[in-house]
Amino acid sequence: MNGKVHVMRKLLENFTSRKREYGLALLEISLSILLSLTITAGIMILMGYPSELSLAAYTVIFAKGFDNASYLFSRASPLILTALAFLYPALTGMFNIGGEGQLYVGAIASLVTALYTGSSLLALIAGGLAGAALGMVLALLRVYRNVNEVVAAIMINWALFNISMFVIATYLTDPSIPHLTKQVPDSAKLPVVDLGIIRLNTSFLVALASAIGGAYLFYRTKLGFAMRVSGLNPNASLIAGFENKKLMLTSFALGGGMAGLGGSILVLGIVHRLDTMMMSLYGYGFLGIGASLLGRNNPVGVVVSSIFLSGLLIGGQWIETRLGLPHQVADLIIGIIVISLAIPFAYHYMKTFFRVRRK
Amino acid sequence: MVKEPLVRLENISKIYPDGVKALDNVSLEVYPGEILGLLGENGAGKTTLMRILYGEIKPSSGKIYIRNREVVFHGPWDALKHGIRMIYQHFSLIDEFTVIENMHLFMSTINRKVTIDETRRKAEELLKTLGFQIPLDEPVGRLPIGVQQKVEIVKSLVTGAEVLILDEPTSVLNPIEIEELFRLIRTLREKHVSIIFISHKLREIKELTNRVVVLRKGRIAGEAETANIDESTLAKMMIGEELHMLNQAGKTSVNNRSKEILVLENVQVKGDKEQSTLKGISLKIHCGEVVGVVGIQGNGQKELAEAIIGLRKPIKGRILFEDEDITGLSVEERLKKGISFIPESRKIGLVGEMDVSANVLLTNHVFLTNRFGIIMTRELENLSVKVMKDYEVLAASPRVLVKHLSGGNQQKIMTGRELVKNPKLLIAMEPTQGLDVKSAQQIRQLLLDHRSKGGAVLLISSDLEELLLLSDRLVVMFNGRITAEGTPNEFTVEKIGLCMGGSC
Repeated sequence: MNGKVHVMRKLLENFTSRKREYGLALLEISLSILLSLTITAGIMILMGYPSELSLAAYTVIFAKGFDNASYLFSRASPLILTALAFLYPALTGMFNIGGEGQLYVGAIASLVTALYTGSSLLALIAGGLAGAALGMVLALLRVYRNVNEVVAAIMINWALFNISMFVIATYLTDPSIPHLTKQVPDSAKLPVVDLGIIRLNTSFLVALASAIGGAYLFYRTKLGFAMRVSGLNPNASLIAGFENKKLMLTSFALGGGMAGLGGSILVLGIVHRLDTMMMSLYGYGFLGIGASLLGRNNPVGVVVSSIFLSGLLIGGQWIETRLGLPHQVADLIIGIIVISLAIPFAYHYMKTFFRVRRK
Repeated sequence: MVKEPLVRLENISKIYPDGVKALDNVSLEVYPGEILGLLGENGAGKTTLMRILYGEIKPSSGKIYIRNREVVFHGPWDALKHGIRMIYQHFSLIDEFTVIENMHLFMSTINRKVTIDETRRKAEELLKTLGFQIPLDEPVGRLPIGVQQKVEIVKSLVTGAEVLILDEPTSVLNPIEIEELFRLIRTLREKHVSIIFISHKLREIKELTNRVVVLRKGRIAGEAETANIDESTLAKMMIGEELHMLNQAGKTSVNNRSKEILVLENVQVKGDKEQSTLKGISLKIHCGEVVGVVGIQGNGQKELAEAIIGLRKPIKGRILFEDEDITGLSVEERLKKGISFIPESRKIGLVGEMDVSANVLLTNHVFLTNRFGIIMTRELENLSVKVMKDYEVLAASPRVLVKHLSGGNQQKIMTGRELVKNPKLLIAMEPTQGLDVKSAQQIRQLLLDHRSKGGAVLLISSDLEELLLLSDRLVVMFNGRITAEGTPNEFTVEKIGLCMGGSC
């Protein structure tokens, strides 16, 4: 009990002593959202839509995007995980752009495991491990062959996109519906928990647990501390007796694992089958980078930002049916928010990133 | 003889946005063809004042006159037009460029039309009148520091420098290079170039300058013809209070029977450069002893420290700690055994983006995590508070980010977090670097206290006075070898100088 009070006090102290920082972050986020809404409205007007329509569009986006919590949370779950896939290596000072490819690999590994074993737990583990293995490949290339992880990840993403399509189309399609894969057996589907006020998809719980677990790992354990130190100051990390190479490998495997898990829950908990064009998978990995930046590279922030972005996406689909506006309006809003947020943040981030690396 | 001042600074004040008053109503004159010493401790405002004269910082109030005409500098380019040049401790040369390319680069910022041949002709002419040679077609990075500094000076002169500001120019040089620099500065005086020589070393000020201005805490603490003032008066002006003596209790000559804590046997370690490669070091450190390592930076001191803490693996030789061979152990295992390390720079030892308590955790994690690798937050909190209290770290709470603290407080964290665990062996590199006299004395006292409690200290410092003051035994390193060893009394300054330069 005493321990809990102590932790709470420390958290509070932590918060009050950084009040200014948190305040500034909040201000920046609000400003960029506002800016983005303004610019998007401007673009819509330029494209010839009546000006009151943009206001109506925002009303629909925010009203419809956030009104069904069950759907919102389940849509956000894979995004939370791909955002964590970017976040964990970033805390160790590296860029994981490979979330997209790791997501594909995780999804396919899960689907195959689910089809053969019918066990959701095994399928989750397989998905996570497949993503982690792919992340590890990127990290090994970086650590031992000094291959830039960003370049390698971009190339591997595209290679995997096409390989995955090939695998799905060739080996996994359902003979009766040739453009879809076989369905995940019922025994391997992630259940939906009915809590009365909200029907919570288990995938959301998996994502939430991953974020909380990550926060605990990075801020309460030696391993996580070592990873953060090695990202911020590799020299200090050596003096403390940490091994930078191992830490880089660990964080990349962890990140890859998150994206793989994202693919898993998408298959097991939400779509239950993949299509040959991979429409249901495509984009989550890339959007995760934006969600991570919007969440200020903080595990808890990432959960909030992923839910927010998912709400915008859902709302975007509604404006199409309600107002006849293109759903790309939502993409536009998200894009501009991410850009306006990312510019100052990415600037500081890259500055330290390259300063560290140059040594 | 009343001469017209070349440069006159009038009532200059500088208040930084965070409220720090760096300069308070400072007035200063520079006459043609004189060497003006600007003396003061770290943080006295010497560099700030000179950066104002160089146009890099705008003063909060005050005026600058050149030849009795008021000028306003918007940036260094304006100062350059008026013949003012500044040479920093860290040179503004491009290592990959040759000497002449560096000179041309600088010249063409002042006169765009100048060709590289003209630069070369001017440089050669100038070198002839100064009476020394610089290999003009050698990349700067391959030249010794002393020569690089000459390149900086010649670069300034080629463009017609009238006032040359040298910011602590001797801090990077060895004694022989310092002599050469002084000779060059005297030649420049004869050529009617005014020199402003910034230093905190009394002896150099006394030896070189005509006139000296002493700054203390942003104010002028005194001004005098150098010939009419002695070093101790200058020291008092600079520090403002009597240097309180260190408590030397427990400082005795080495007791040969006291226990050996660390033994190095013919240790060979690959260094960053050939000169710093350890070529067979044998050394013993006893409990309750401070062993000082003397030497010019880059002669293997850093490699020695890193070999002991485990950051570098020896190619040959053994390292024994408490009679146990630790040559193959990792850094973490050595930390656990009670070896402790203060690295040579706060940039290496601290994580600025993290708070005080995380930085305390950094080198104490072996004692502050449980067997599952989970950080014991309460113990960490207590230890952080203890470090801050015992070592007088001025910070609002352990949550404050280290980058927001002053250099002195950062250094105290780095020293404090090691001493607080009462290590059996402490390797301290430059523990008082960049500190004001008071903080430096505090840290020196802490090291001595640790020694009298039975701890062993390996002190690596470029401050000779500090080494003489603290060490029970001195070893001199040159070119990766130990060239001399003995108690401070067995050494004269001359002898140390010779050994450092490799001639003993």
